[in-house]
Amino acid sequence: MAPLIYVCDDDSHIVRAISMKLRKAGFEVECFPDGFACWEKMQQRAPHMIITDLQMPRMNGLELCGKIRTFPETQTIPVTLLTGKGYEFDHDEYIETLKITNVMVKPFSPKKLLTQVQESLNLTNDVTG
Amino acid sequence: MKSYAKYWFLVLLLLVVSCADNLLVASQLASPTIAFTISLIASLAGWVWLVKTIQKDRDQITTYIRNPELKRPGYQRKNFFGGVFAEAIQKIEESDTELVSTKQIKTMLKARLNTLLKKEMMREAVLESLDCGILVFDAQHMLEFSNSAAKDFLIPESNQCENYSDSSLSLSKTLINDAVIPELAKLLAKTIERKDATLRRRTEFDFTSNGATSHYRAVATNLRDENQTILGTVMVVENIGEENVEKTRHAEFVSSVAHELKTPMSGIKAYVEMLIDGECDAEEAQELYGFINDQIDRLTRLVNSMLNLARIESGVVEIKRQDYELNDILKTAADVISPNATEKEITFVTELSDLYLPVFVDKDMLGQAIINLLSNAVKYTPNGHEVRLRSRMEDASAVIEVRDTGLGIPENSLPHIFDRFYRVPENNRSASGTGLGLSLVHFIVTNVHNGSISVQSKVNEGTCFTVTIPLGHKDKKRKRHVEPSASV
Repeated sequence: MAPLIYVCDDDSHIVRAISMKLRKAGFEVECFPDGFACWEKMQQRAPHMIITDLQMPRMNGLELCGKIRTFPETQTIPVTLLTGKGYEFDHDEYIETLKITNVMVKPFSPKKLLTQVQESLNLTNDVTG
Repeated sequence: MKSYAKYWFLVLLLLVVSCADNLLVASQLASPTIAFTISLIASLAGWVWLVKTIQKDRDQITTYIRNPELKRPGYQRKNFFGGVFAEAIQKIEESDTELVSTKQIKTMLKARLNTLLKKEMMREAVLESLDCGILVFDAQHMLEFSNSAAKDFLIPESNQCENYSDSSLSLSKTLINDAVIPELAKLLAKTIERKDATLRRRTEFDFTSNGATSHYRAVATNLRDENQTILGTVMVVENIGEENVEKTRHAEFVSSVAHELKTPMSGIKAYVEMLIDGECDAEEAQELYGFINDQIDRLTRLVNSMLNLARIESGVVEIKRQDYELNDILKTAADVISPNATEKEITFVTELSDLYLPVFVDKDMLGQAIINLLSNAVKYTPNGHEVRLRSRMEDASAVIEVRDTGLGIPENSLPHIFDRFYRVPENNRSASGTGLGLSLVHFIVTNVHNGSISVQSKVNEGTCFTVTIPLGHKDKKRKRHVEPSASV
């Protein structure tokens, strides 16, 4: 069974590009426009990994991570944070406190994102299903 | 008559009388009694004449000396005291001259003093009028002057205690006397210890005054004369709270702009990379090219709107006001926003006045302002709600209303809603933005069109922006007659 990845971003093009890349690599992908929608779905079905934007309406990426790390069922899920912020965002602090697996600064390379996803899930080759 | 002449004349007279008496007695022409009487009378007359002369001289001298007005009577050299008096008069006349010059100097000094006092008062008034605190310390590090803006940094005498001294500072004793807050005392000590290089030092600190905490910057400078002798130290304390807030807002604005630019750039990069790697079939590739094109358009719009704001606010854009019908402009703006509302399933209602609303406006600018208001209404109104655009005539004005049933603006944010870079914190997450839209609307309505804009809002109930523009065409001949029976 292909690993399930949740992708959260309020920009439809970013969501579309990531999901296209991951699906082609054999992952099952589900997309959400904000953190809250993702969190609601997560309570029904926990994914293997989450890729989330930082700034989103209703529930932002950090709030989503906070929720994920609070509950035992979801606290070990790897999280990649996408951010448009540069130097003004203290990556290290959040990586530490919210146990964020990776931070990717926009504009990012989908290829690198895929590699990081594979590393996070301890997969050496593309998942073929 | 020369000096002492009167005296010698008197002695000679007495000698002559005495000799005449002796001759009269010797020649037995007169009895000794008569001779004695003649001698006595002559002596008495001589003495009376001498005493009177001396009295007259004394009066003259008294008049000469005891005269505060320096009005000296003509000096009569025929005086009993002769040369002595002449010498005294000369001395007095010399001192008179000195006194006159002393008086002139005194008057001059008084005038100089007045000028200096006025200058000092002017300087003090200037220092008092400054918003920044000024503290001047003398060479002994004692506080010599402080203006009223600096009074918060002084420790009242009743509160002065040794706690404020820092034992590590050699000047601690002096600093207690100076009675300034510890931050400034430390700065003063460090500045005084600085012997060469730059003569000034600065520090920044938070300070609470009248219950309000703000950030301050203090700059201390050693003052020296031409011989490099230290005269004292001047300290200038500025409240840089506002400056910092402005800097933070600007940094947030730049960050916000960067975020807005990076989002479409991310999409473009992702699509391009996938195309380069040949991961897509022909149909997918075609779709990705379309997306890339859209994202580039989005970037262009974003950059243009930012440039637009900068150009309009800086006055680079020429304002082209002409006679228009307001509803035409509103219809055009409504047509631009309508697809966005439909996409978000928002009911978009336009209730334009049936009246002809003549206005003298820059069509593009006013149109942009209305589009901004409508765009905000759509952005901050949840799916399924309503946005309404209305126009009406009110007195000598045309009134435009943009009303929504959206998130609303909290009361504490309403006064700042037109500030540049300001975004309602509670609604920040609901939609992306630069915090410039309403600032531009305000500028266009008030500065370009002499109109006014107001806002009414309730959280979770909705917001209503009311724009008022003066009614009437510039060319009065073209102004159409308004039907009184027409209703809005």
